[in-house]
This record gives sequence, C-alpha cells and structure tokens, in this order.
Amino acid sequence: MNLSIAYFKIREILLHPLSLVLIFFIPLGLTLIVGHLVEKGQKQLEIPIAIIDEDHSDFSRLLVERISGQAKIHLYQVSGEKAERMLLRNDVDSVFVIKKGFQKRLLTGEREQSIEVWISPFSMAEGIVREVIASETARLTSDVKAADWVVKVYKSLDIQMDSSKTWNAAYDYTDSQWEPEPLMTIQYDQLYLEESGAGKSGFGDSPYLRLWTFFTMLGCFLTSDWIVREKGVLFFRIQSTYHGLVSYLIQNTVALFLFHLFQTLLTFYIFVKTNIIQMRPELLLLMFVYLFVCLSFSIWSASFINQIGSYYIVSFLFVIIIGILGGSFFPVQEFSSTLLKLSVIFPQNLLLSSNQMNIQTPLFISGAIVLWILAIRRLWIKR
Amino acid sequence: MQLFEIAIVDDDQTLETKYVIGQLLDNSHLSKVTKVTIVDHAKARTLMEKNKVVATIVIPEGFSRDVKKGLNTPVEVIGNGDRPLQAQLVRHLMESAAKLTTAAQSGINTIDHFLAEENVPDDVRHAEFKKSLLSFSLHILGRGTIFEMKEKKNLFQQDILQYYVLSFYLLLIMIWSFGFLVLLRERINGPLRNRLNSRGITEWKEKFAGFAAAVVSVSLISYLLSLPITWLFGSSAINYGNLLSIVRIVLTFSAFFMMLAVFVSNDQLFLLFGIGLIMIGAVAGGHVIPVVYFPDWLERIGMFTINSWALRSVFDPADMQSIKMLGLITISCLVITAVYLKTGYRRCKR
Amino acid sequence: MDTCDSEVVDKAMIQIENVSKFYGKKPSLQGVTLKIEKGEVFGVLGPNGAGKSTLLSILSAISMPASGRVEINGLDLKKQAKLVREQIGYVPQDIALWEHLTVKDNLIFWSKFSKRRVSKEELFELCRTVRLQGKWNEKVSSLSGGMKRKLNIAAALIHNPDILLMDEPTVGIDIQSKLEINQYIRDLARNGKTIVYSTHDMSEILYLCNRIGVLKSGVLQFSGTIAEAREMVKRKGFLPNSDEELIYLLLQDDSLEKPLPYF
Ligand SMILES: Nc1ncnc2c1ncn2[C@@H]1O[C@H](COP(=O)(O)OP(=O)(O)OP(=O)(O)O)[C@@H](O)[C@H]1O
Ligand SMILES: [Mg+2]
Repeated sequence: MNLSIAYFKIREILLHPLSLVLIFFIPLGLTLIVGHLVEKGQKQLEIPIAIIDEDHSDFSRLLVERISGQAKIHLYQVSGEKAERMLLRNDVDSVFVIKKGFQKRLLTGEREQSIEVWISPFSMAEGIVREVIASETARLTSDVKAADWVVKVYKSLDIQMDSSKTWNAAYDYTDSQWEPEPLMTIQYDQLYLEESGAGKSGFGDSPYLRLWTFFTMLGCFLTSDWIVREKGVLFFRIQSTYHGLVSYLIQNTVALFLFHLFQTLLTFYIFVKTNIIQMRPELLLLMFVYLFVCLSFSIWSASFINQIGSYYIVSFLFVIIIGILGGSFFPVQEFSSTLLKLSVIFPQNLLLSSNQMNIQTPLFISGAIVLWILAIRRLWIKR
Repeated sequence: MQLFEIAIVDDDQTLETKYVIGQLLDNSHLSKVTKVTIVDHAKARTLMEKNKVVATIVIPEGFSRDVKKGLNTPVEVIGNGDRPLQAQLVRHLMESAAKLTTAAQSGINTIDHFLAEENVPDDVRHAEFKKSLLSFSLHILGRGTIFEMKEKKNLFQQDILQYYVLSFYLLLIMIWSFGFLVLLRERINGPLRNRLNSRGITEWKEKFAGFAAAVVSVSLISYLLSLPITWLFGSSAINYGNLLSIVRIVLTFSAFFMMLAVFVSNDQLFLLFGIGLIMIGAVAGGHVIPVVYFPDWLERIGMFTINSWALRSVFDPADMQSIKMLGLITISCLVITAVYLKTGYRRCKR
Repeated sequence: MDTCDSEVVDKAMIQIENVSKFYGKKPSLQGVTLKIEKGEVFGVLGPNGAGKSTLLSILSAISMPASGRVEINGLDLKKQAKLVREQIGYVPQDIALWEHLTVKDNLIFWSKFSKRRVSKEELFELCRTVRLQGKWNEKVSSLSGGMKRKLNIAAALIHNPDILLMDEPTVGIDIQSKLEINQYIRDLARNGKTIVYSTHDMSEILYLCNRIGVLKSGVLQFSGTIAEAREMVKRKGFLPNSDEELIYLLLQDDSLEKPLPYF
C-alpha cells in the first residue's frame, strides 16, 4: 500500500499547532495538571469540624491539642453559637462539645456522655472523627483506669505506699508507653494483584492514569472531527480517485493513531519516571489497546453524525458519561455492585482493574475492529 | 455503599490478639458496612486476588509479646488497590484501632509492671493480668458511650444524596448552556452571517439574540428536569425559590459562555476551553466533594468558579452574597462581550 | 498502444448502455445510452435537476448505476472501478478542497491520491495554467470564490488523466480566465483527452463541445453534434436564427405547446 497520504497527514498535523495541542496537550498536559491538583487536593483533603471546650481543664485542652494534631482533621475552636451556625451552613462536618466537668468525670471513671456530638443531615465523616476522638479520649481514660487499678491492688495486697504518688507514677508510666511510638501502629500498603501473582505493582490510587483514560478518549473524539467535516463533498470527490476513500480513511486514521501512540508512549515514559506507574510492558500494551478502542469508537460515532456542532456536543457528553461510569474520575465500582458488574463493558477497565490481561482484552480489540469496519462501510455506502 | 469484607490473618494466635480482633469486629461504625473473616495467608491471598476483600490485616507473630514488652510492633494492613476508597476507610479505622489497642495495652502493661516491681507472687500477677485484660477490653469496647448525639437541622438543608442530585443537576445546566452555544455557532456559518449582516442584524445583535435564546431554552429544560427531581425528593428539593435561582444560574452560565464564544473563534479551541472550564468548575466548585472538605488553597480556587456560587445559591436561595456574586458575574460578562463586539466589529467584518 | 487503438477504432472511449439510477423511488437517470469518442468534448446539457451531476458521478465511479453497463476505455466500470479511477479526473460541482490547507498543500494532497507520482514543479505549472501561481502559499479559505473554482479544476488535472469529467467547472470564474480555461480544455481534447463537460453556459457549449447531450428529467432526449441538433429542431418545425437560439430551443420544456420566443 502506498502510504503517502498518511505521510502527508502526519506532516500536516506536525505543521498545525492546534492539532498538536489536541493530541498532546489534552491527554498528557491536562492529565498532569489536573492529576497534580487532584492528587494534592486528595492528600490534603480534611474533615472540617468544630470543637467547643466548655470544660477548660487540662484534660480537655490536651484532647483538643491532640485532635488538632491529626492530619486529616481541620479543627475550628469556636463558641457554641457560632458552631451551630457553621454546622447549619455546612461549613463543618460535625461539632463536638466537651461538656463541663469532663475532666472530673474522667477522673472518677464516669466517662459516659461526656462529649456531645452535633450532626446535620449533611455530616459525612462524623463516624471517622468520632473514632479519632474516642481513641484520644481512651488514652486519657486508660491512663486513669490503670492508675486507679494499681492503687487499688496495692491497697488490697497491703503494700505500703503514698497513694497519690503511686497514682501519679502509674499514670505517667501508662502514658509514657505512647512515646516515642504507640505500642501498636499500622503499616499500610496497597496491593495490586495480577494473575501472575508478581506482587506489588500498578499505579497507586493516584488519579493520573484514571484521568489519562478520560483525556485520551476526549482527545480521540476531538481529533476525529475531520470525518464529520469532510464527509460531504470531499469524501465524494476522494471516491473518484485511484486510491479512493477507504485508503484515505485508513491512512488518515493510521496517521492519527501514530500520533496518539506517541502521546501514549510519552505519557508512559513520564508516568514511569515520576513513579506514577511501574515499568510494566503489558501496561503499555494495554494503554495502546485502550487507545485503539477509543479511536475506533470515535470514528464510528463520527460516521453517524453530520453536523460538527452536534458531533462535539454528543462526543463531549458521551465521553463524560462513559468517564464517570467507567471510573475515569473515581472508583465508582466501589459504590455499587451493579456498577462493578457493568464495569467490564467499559474500556477504562482495561487499565483500571487489576485483572487486566484476560478475556476482555481480545474482546475489546475485536470489538474495536468491528466498529472500524462498520464506520468505513457507513461512510462508503452512503453514496 | 455495598457491604465489604476484610480478611484477618492472625500469625500470633494469642489471647490478646483475639481481643484486638474482637474489638475490630465490634466497631459499630465498621460493622455496619463490613464483614470480617479470619483466614490463613493462602486464603487471604486468593480472596484478594479474586477481589473479594477490601483489605487484609496481618497480625505478626510475637505481636502480643512485643506489645507487652512495650515494643512497637506494626500491624500490616494491605489495602486492595482495586478498591482504593474502601481500602482507605479500613486504613483510617485501623489507625484508630491501633490507638485504642495502645490505650488498653498500656494500661494492662502498667498494672503488670507495678505488680512486678513490688515482687507480687506470680499467681496473683497472672490473675490480675487476666482480669485487667478483660476489663480494659471492655473499657475500649464501651468507648462509644462517651458521646451524646444530637441532630441539628435547618430548612434548606438536604441530605447527602440530595446534595449530589442537585449538584449533578447544576452541572447539567452548565453543560447545556455551553452546548446550546456550540450548536448555535454551527448553525450560523459565514455566508449566513453575511446575509444577516446585510439585513441589519449585526454580530452584536446576533450574539445577544443567541444568548437570550440560550437562557430561555436552557431555563425551560432545567425547569422540566426539576419536576422529576422534586417528585422524587419531595417539594423541598427544588422549590420556587430554587427555580428563581436556577434562572439566575442559567443567565450567569450563558453569559459566561457567550463571552467565551465571542473571544475564541476557533471551534475546537472553543470546545477545549469550554470543556476545561466545565471540568474545573465541577471539581473546584464542589460538585464532586463539597468545598468545605477542601484544603485552603483549593477552597480559594473554588471561590473563583461560578459553580461554587451557583451551588450555594441552589442550597440557600436566600443567601444574598451568592445572588450578588452571580449578578456581578453575569453583568460583567455581558458588558465585556458588548464592549468587545462594539470595538472589534470592524475587525470581524474585515 | 497504436495497434491497440486501430484495433478498437470504433470502440468508444466511454460507452454507456441503458443506465438508470434512482434516489429512493424517484429516478434521476432513466435508460441513458451514450457513446463518447476519444478526443471529444461532450457537453451535457439540461435544466436544473435533470440528472447531469448524477451522470457524471456515475462516470467517475463515485456512485454505481442501478442498472445498465458503463465501459470506460474498454474497462467495465463496476468490475474495474479502481483502474477506471486512475484514468479519470473529476471536477465536482461543489468545491471540494481542504479549506485549512494552502493551495500548494491541496495540490500535493490530491496528487497523493493517484498512482502516478507528480513533482512539485508540475503542480506549480498546473497552478500557473489556472492563474493561481500568486496564491501558491495561501490558504484556500482566504481565496475568492472564483479562485477556489480554479483550484477545484486544477485538482482534477493533477494526474494527467485521459478522461476529464467536469461538472459546471467554470461557474463564477471571470471571463478572461474562463476563456483561458476553455482554450486549455480544447487543447487537451486536441491532444487526445476525452472530456465530458456539464454546463449552463451557451458560449462554452458552442466554443468547446463537439457533441452535446440533452438530459431532461433523467432521460437523454438528444445526443449528437450541433448540426444534427439543427436537423432535429428543423424536423420539429422550428427554424433557429442562431446557435444560441438552437440550444435554447433544444432545452425548451416539451410540455409547452408553443416555445417561448428567444429574445
Ligand atoms: N443525494 C440525493 N438524494 C436524493 N435525491 C437526489 C440526490 N442528489 C440528487 N438528487 C435528485 O436527483 C435528480 C438529479 O439531480 P442532479 O444533481 O443530477 O441534477 P443536475 O442536472 O446536476 O442539476 P443542476 O443543474 O442543478 O446541477 C434531482 O431531481 C435531485 O433532486
Ligand atoms: Mg449538477
């Protein structure tokens, strides 16, 4: 086959800054920019809560101090009235009130209902915050409980002591076990399993690869618009030439595919260099497959639509909806088992799920080829 | 959220670790959504591979011995990368669990230590140890009792589902306002514009007519869509106050996109900008996660999106600040467009 | 080649037998039979919607006839479409060019569609013949309507085809250039090219065409030389004073009992 049409198209894209922007900046640039923002935002996402200290004791101050040291919580220390207003305006997730007599109650072992929690129908994360506060309070109550226990046992065993000194010693000893590190900590790892069982790999739950699937699909749709634009007289005339329309369609798509392929390679390289993903050739291969599916799909859609504006709108909505349902933005599959089952039909699943190299891949490839052929037939037969 | 499973591998197999596990099982917040199974390594592995569990918790051998000695021993929590959100939740809850265990264990250790210091006989020490283990475990289990829950409500507040429904609704309005202008751009091509021009319809008039058409049609579509939402969620979801604010929002979005349409003459670029702005609006404006959960810098970016003001005005139609803000944006977009068209008219005509 | 030619000397360059074409149920061509010889300029005439463009698109292998046979230079159009396409140059009625590319790039791009390799010098030469050499590096979108028409014609000449199918190519082109293009086309015919030319322009018909065909509602009413046309009109009882009037009478709506007077 004579490839000079493809060559010409490649040259044309290279000389046309806007097409370069569409092919490279949309998927790669926007992925990096938006991904960076999202990642940074995600890491720093904090639960806003308000806390009201009515007790003003050592214990309550200690509790507030320790909670405010938590990374994921943004603490507002305010008065009661203001806290309620903030809660009702959804400025805070929930409000915690350390009631008067908090310290006294803890010291006497009557901790019940010593903290009041105000929630609104909007509260999303109050469960997690409650656990955090409960565990910090448990530190205080355990210290007290252990000290009480020691004094009590000493007494029952008739051991001589200065009971307040012993109490303080036991209290301090208990609390000292939190330093420099608590007795128990967790070490968190995220595991990506493959069928090969090779162990840890994958892309982290960083948003980059997810966003890349969205922007690449968008880029494919935007760069397939020539079909809609040239569908009229140009395709008509091309049919009267020696190489003809099919050759033109194939070569143009090949040229576009090459550019997107290059974009994918570049993305892969940058992702590997920045440790977003690990160097896995099969992932690169899957990215290529994904690209091929997107391109076939966009060409197929373009073969249906005759108005360029409608094409843009339809493809935009389509890409967004497929993006949301396919998990390009966040792992929707976790929210419902229906979506989890459905996820196999979305091409994003090729990259975003860990059971990657399975039956789906050949299915997607053959589906893409079928779409391709259908598109060419549509454009060809219309005359 | 669907029920999710957690696998625990207990390599330690002691009384204390049983308590730790028991405490996990009893977490009221967790037990509503989770199911915990105790398995061996191989089973845990297959469960993870089959994507059946969200996380595996491995309690290492010698865990309780080390903890008793006052040594830190990390417990391994392995999240399932395929379900990052749920895995993160397990992680947070395990972090709290680790603190609770530390609290209990430090108390138990103290008692044992103080008895050992006074050379208390072994049998007494052991009896006290068992007693304290039980007592502190119960103490930790009862941690929820420190809270007294109170629910506060106001008139305009919706629950979280309504938030997302309304927020998605708003996003649709934004996309429509944009889409309408995209379609309009295509309908009016070069020759048609010249003909319109010849009939005294300048680009200025044409753009503003398009704007008016966009406002009317998008408002109408939005109104129609509001009916099923109101029906589903009761009249509080979208009431008349909201409808008025929706028209205001449509005005703002349409004016904004019209300004963009006037400035950007290339179709693809217009589309690119529009999509970019819609995405920024969706993320920074709080459609995905409410703005209050953002870190400060992102919240500040959010302030600059129309979406954040629009969301505020949908949820609280009486909020004067958002009304003023939307009005200000609308008017400035219209003025900028008008000025640009008036001064740039000669250039367009070429 | 020469021996071959002499062998098929009475074999026409374009042979159309009983060709019909439908859009939906409506026929746009009905049983058209026609022979066009090598070196001939054949004018296709007819009122709007008569089927001229349809005929030319069939000849250029863009759309296939519903029934009938078309042979071009001895090749069957249906079976050997690809070979036929290399021999034809088609000028569509609408301008078919890449608006965002320059004149040069458009010509280069169109040259990629033919089997023959064409050098840039040849393309520039072609550009000169349609008097667009000054616009060589300008975008098509910035050309005037007539200039686009010229380029539209040039694109069909790139691969030096034996047969030119031109569908109202000179609409909107200035008189001077039109004359030059007509001269050029006539020279091409003299050099052995076969040209099928659809037009509404009297002077072009008279200047260019050796033979003409008149289509009305998809039916070929007449085909032959101007002289033969005069004969036919005479037989109908009219006596045209000039060639213009002759053509005018030829295209006259048959349903009218008495033709409207010419001038
Ligand atoms: N794509 C199409 N779909 C349906 N009908 C068509 C189509 N193209 C042409 N026709 C019909 O076929 C008939 C012949 O059309 P054609 O374009 O061949 O006319 P023409 O002789 O070239 O007219 P003109 O002088 O205006 O160019 C017309 O009645 C037209 O309405
Ligand atoms: Mg025609």
